[in-house]
Amino acid sequence: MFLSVIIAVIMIFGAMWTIVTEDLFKAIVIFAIVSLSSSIMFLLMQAPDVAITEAAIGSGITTGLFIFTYKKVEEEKDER
Amino acid sequence: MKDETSVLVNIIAFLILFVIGIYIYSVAIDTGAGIKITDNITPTMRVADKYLNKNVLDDNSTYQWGGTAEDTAANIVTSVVVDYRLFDTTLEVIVLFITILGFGFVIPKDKRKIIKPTTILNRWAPILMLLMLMIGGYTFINGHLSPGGGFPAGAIISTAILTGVLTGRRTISQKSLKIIEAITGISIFSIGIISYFLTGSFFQNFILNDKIGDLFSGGLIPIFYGLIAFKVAAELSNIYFEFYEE
Repeated sequence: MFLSVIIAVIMIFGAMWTIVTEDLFKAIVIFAIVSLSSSIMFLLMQAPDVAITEAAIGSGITTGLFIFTYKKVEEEKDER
Repeated sequence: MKDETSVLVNIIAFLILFVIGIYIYSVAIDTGAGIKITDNITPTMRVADKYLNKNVLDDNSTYQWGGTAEDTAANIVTSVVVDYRLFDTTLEVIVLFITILGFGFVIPKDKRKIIKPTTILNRWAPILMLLMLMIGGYTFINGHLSPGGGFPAGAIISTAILTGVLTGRRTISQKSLKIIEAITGISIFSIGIISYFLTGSFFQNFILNDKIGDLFSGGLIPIFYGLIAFKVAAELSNIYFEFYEE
């Protein structure tokens, strides 16, 4: 019970921080933390199937693709 | 001239939408034997009621083949996803395929330099890749017994290839990825057509009467999950190679 409240607070603050922060890379990492804690939330809500999908796609692949895109954006900035 | 053709295209699009609308409406108010979408005022007509009244926790109960689709797998979510809603998953896979086609157009194919990884990442990458491959394989082989399934299994397998891409290793060529994708995509739909000719509806399970809870049970469910896992893994790995093509 307390664990779910703590995770909910972490999720809300992480989501706010993702929007507010200026640094793109910081936003990507905090977004990964938000989706990882949401996967724990799914596990606490007795939905392990959704938790596995969220952990694999939400915090694994999405973060990887965002970091690839971040690298490309930085490269284009350097060329200009 | 251009306006006339666009008006014609709009009229054709509206006609197609109208036909789809009639189809959806007729399904919604259909008075067949199935469960209707609009007529769920009485609780016994809802799908949820069917699952709420299902009791397998009793010690004296012997689990017998009841003739319904949700008796094939030990994991109830799997039996719903594969036996009732396999069209959803297959069409999701097709949506993913179209997304990757779009990637090829958007991302310019210029030369990219691959930054050399650190020693720790370089040494640990093969171990991590083996671990991810093992977890992904377990997820789709055991999908009908424990939580898991084809889509997350494919995502986990593709993380192994993502690790390889991050360390600059070329683990698999793009051509073989496309071949894997084509073979799995064709076999999913050919198994669907075979089950249409055997049982009368698409994607229906036709390997039945095996003991529930065994590794080799669930009929077509592990086969479909394996095919979907490899298709999703090939498609997602294609994205990484689109980003990091030499």
